[in-house]
Amino acid sequence: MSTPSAVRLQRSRRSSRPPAIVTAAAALLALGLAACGGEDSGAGGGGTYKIGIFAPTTGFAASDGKSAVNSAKLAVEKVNAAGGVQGKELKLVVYDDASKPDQAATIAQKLVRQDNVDIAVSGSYSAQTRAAAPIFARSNKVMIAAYAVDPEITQVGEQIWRIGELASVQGKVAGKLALDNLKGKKVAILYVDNDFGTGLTKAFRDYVKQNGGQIVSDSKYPLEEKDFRTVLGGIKAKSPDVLYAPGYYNNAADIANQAAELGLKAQIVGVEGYDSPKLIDLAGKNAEGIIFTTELDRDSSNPAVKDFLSGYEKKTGVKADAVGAETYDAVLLAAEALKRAGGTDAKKLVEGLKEVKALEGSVTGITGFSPQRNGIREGLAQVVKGGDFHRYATFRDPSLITPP
Amino acid sequence: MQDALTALTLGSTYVLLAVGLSMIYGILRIIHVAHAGVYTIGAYVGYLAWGQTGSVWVALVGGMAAGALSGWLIYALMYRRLLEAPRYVPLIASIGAFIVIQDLLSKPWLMGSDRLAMQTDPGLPTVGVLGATVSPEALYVLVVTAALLLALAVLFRRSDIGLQWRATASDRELAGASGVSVERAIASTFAVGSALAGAAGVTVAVYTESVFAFMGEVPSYKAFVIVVLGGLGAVLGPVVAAFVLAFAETLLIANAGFVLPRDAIAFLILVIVLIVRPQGLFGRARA
Repeated sequence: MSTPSAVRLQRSRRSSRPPAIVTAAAALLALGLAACGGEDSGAGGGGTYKIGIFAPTTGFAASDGKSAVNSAKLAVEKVNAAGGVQGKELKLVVYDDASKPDQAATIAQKLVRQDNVDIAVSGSYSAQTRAAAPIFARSNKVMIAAYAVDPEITQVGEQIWRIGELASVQGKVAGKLALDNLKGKKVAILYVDNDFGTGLTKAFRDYVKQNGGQIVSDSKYPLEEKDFRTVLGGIKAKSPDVLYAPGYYNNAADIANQAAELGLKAQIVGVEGYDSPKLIDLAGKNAEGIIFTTELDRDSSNPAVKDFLSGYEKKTGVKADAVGAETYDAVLLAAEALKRAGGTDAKKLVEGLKEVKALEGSVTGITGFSPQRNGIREGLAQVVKGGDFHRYATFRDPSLITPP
Repeated sequence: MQDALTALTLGSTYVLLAVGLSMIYGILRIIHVAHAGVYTIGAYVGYLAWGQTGSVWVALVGGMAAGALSGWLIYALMYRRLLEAPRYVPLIASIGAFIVIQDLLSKPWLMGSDRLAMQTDPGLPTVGVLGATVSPEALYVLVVTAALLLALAVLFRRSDIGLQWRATASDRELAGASGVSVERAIASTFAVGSALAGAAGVTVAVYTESVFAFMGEVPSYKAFVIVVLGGLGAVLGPVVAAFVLAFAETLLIANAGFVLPRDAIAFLILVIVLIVRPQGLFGRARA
């Protein structure tokens, strides 16, 4: 996942700032910050377990990074308030990767060698997580990816686990949603041109084709695009029932605003990239009725979810999002692994993780892990209603929701 | 038809920024990158003014005033001291000023780095043209652009200051020797060109229904593409070039989708034009 305004920002920054020295200076500065960015527990073991986490708390993805770190802190507070793990307190060691894969790799080295953390959590995107995962695997440290979607991440070793929902699962769930729940016959697709959008679209497209839906329009857009009027005009001419538009909340807001402007009637179906209060902020009444697949159910009666939603808002002053929920669960899973292993031995941690079925206190509803160590949960769609997110549908069919 | 209207509106969002930039280049021969910073300031002041009053017209006035002031300040505090320096000096200073403006605006204690929503009600009707519709926001962009271009044309052709601008742009020393207040001509060019940049910021904010601190990134170089296409230093050239570019982008996207990012299209056209007509579409070849 990512935040589009900001992605746009980073990309355009690169292209519009000619002096290499500025970039170099920024990189040096960022490295310097990362070098002193660790919030070390100082206790060096003893009465604590150290959990290392990296997330983009500065740069274009800062809002997701902050959401991840705040949620991780919330989870640590929760575990510690309940007596820690077998009497030992959890301590977070936090690093900012600024959404740079090379920085994430450096941080991974540092977490392993210098901070000697007991277990690691990625609160970052796919590229950074992919750079860090092999380093943890080689060093025989367990790492849990919160919301990075790239399927390859967990394939580098049995030390690497994932909370988030794979694109292949989420795209299928959206297909079911479009054809069955929404009774769509004619479907249009407009997706962001990166791994995230392509992966989701592939699964969605396959499902729709196999299940008798008709795809009347299928096109992509560059991440930084803001003006969709021309393509939306073309889509309107095909009069689809459903518009599947994988992307991020910024893209979604522009698409929703401009679709309303053009009088496009198709039901917009989105993805977990939409899962941010900023979507409703930017699109206002045009966001009403948008349905998207995600992992955080605002209408859940589960006390763990209610606690998380209210706890997060109390702590930060803003509403929680899916990125935060997934990172919260990643920390809970780390604590669960430490508990089951009764220590920090990597082999025992992995054995412990293999036994996890329903993760206690899980906010995204983890019910177990697949052979490739991906979290299993019910599929979920939320709808924007009355300026807030609400439950639209859940999906239990194992053939839909089971990741590889 | 809908595509033509979209292109017309898109061209309008390009044109105000490019014309101001071209005026400033014409008079000082400076690559004024910070012009896009002025545009961003204009958009934010417009946003704040709209937040206070709910009026896009107050926003426009506020954005233009802020643009004029900040553009003039950039000239008075920075370029004026660098007029005799080699040309890369003001260029680097300009890039620096642009970065400072963006980074200051994006600070949490100022405006923050989040994109801010600006869903306005321009109080204009939705107009139907040959089966296509012009939204109130698009109509606002079109009306503001047309009015400002008209006002600029009158200023250029019919006023003393317009004459002084043209004289100073064509030969600064000769104009000074002939009794033109060169200093005043330059400062007022900056003020007016920057007011146009401020207006561009506000119209784009209304049209995209948002502002954000780095909204000037792409325009910072795209405006130069338009200015170079139009012939550096000219005023009519960039106007035509802005619309040519907008129509080319829209046509390509309408027929082929986003085969390449919108801004790549601009540079592609620039490269082709520079090969075929190095002086730009409307520039005169220099002896």
